[in-house]
Amino acid sequence: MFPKEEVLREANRCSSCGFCLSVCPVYQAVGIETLGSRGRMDVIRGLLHGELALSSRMEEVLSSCLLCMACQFSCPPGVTAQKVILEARHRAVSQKGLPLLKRLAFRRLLPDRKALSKALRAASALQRRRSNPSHLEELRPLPSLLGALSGGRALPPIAQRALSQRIPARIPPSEKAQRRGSVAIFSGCYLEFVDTPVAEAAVGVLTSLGYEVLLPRDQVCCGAPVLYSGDLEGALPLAKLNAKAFARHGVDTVLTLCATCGSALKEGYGILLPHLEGRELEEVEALRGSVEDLGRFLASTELWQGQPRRTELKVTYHDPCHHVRGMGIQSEPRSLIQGLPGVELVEMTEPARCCGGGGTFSLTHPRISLEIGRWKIEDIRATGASAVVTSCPGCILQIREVALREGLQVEVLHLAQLLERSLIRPFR
Amino acid sequence: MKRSLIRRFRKIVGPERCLHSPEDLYAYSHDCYARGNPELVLLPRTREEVSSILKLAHKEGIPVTPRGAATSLSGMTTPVRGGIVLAMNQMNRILEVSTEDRLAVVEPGVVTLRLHQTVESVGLFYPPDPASYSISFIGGNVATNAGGPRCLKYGVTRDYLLGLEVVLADGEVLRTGSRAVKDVTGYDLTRLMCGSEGTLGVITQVTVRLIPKPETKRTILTTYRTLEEASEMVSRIIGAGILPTTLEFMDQAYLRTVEEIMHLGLPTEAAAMLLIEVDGFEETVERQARIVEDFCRRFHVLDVAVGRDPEESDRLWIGRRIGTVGLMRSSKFMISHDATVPTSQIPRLVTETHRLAAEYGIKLVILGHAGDGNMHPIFLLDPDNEEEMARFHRLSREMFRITVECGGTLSGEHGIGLEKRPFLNLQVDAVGMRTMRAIKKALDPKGILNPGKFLDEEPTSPGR
Repeated sequence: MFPKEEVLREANRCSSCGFCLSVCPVYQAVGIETLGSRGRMDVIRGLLHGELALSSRMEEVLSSCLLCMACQFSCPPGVTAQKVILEARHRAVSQKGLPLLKRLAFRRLLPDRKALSKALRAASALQRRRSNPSHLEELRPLPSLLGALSGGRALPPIAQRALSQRIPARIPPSEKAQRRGSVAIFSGCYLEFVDTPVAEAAVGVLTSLGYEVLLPRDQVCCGAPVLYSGDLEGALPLAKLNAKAFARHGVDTVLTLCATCGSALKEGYGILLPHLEGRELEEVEALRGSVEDLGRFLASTELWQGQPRRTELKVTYHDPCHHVRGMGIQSEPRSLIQGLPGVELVEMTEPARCCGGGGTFSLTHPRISLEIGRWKIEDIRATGASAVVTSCPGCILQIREVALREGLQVEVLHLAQLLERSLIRPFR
Repeated sequence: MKRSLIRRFRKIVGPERCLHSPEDLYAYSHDCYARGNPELVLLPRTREEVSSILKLAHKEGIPVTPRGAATSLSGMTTPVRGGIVLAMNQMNRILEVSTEDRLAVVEPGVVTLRLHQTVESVGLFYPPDPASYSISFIGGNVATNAGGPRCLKYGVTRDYLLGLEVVLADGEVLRTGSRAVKDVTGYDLTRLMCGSEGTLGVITQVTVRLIPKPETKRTILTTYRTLEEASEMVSRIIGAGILPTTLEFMDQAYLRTVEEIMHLGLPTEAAAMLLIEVDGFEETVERQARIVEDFCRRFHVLDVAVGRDPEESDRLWIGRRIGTVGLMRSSKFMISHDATVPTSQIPRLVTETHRLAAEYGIKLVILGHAGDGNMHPIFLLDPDNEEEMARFHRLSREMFRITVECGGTLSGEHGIGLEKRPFLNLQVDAVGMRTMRAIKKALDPKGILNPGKFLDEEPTSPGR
């Protein structure tokens, strides 16, 4: 994935000072050096130097990182751990192959939205037949086989109609608003198939501000779960398909509503560049350049025309890892929230601490994920906010489930949904 | 280690806290200085578990190396003779904070910063602040008698200990001290354990003394034309009856090197820079700061800046705080020594160490806690260059010789461990060594606790 010498040099710069352990959520949850930031870096160094082998414990060491990047930001020598871990994961995938389920998902379903849709419908049918434990009423545990594998973690219901069936590929701006041009939306799998209201809220906000919104039908998964699993070869076709899908429309702004998707398209695709050439390289470069997070995009525009509607709400904001440490987004969502009349923003003690979701991590490491999640829930509880706002569906899913488990009554909203509430003319 | 023996240890702590895969042994094999080869890692959660582990280890003659956060810089937690690494991080409860008795009772795995925050939230203060306080453990702080910048005014870890609970080599539990501030009953075993680097026992509980939290602080940054002038200023401030919280020293090489890397606007023409901080009640702080500022303006000072509020004060710290990060990012490897001398000898130590560095061709910058003579000569090295490392070793010996000549000590706060073991004879004579070994023999007759370290007669060459 990266040149060997480059990764080795990076890993060797770690001086084992341990400062990262003060911020590594996995270490704090498990209390075992081997599965924490410093030990992981050390063990990977052993692997790269050929002193350690790709054992099952090694695979556990590699997979037990959330890639939250907190360690990198606390590291005195500034070691980019993500690079070292991704390279080690790539080696593991190259030598040992992907597990069957992942191979099926990454190589067959994610590049093909129709196939993915069919698979999700099938899973959804199983989901509905199963009875739910009462405290997880709103969330549906996975079907029994998958459920057993994922330690009883719940998944939300699959939407009856996918986003692309609910809204057209081209939505004109509101007639009353001053026209501002066109933007495209990268919906991502989650908003396409599960939490469609988030995407609809974003469309509502954008059109009411005068934007024409495009929702290209041929977009696919951003590739984050694939790339971050170390499956470089699986991520490449996804990047090419997405780059092609957006190149066709000639818009220079592609908005993401998911911190992980945004970070994958912008930063993650950067890793793929050396493996691309010609037109495909140009298209991926162009997509990277045009990707922007919805919140940061809106914060840079003259947002509200006229007086927005007053919404009395006390909220706290959770920074997704891929925003605060991935794309460098921290102040923008806050300035938007503080601009909403009636909305009060109260900060957590550690708003930028990972929620423990980490995409598939929550399913592969349910115990650790829930333990880290509990920390976040207690931090939210202490703010006394009635809603927690964030910009990543993965975080929303995690916070919603752990809040239910921990008995915290709190609304979990995407920033787009909070903004939509303050619109004078609701979209729907 | 035999499988049957591993099974017996596993029975004590359970399978989840008994680790022996090659990956686990690798991750627990080292501190910031050196690497060893442990055979088993155990993570106890109670005193009883520690005691059972030591009883069995003692019976079987298995080495046990206690480990805190492993932020040590001298190889103290490196298991050089194999055996067991006893990782104390899961014993991390704060058992009591008493505002009435101004003390806290904690387990050894409590992170220093967490203790700071917990006691400060009730208006109390635990001063020791080693650079690694955001991750270091109280247990490790006690075992190494950790210091830190503000120890000039407040003293080091040992000055805040009221009592300890220590599991001895044979598994028996020793309780030292009491909850009383004054205590002259018997030998001061608390202080004997403090700084013993895991060679005399395993600390399982610590009772620390707390003081009222200072109300406010003020920071003053000044620069000097010569080292002597900076040194004179230190004496003048202390002579005026002012005991600053911290008195940080940065030499010209440091200022120039950091400036080259980070462009912070540091005064590269100055021979030395002092960062002076005073704390206390608003009125006293104001008055002390005025006196220091007045001295600075009257005597040979190139420049002076005063932080009027906490934010301004924090900004003045940037050159000191960010500077070391810059050094780490730009150098392949750095070793920070902590040679400590009486304050009057600082100019000599600084000058002579620079002379040695030039002579041996090693890149050097010097920082230090000038108020207590605790200097940090930082050597920027290439660990792959064996010849350079050998030169560095010879330089270190010379520097330590001068340090001891000045009436100083090999280590002010980092400890001896493996790193300074070859130099120990410069400071401790035969009688001193014999006395220490007699104590060790009395408490750990089989020598199972952290073997191969400073008390050992056989040399141990650490791996990296």
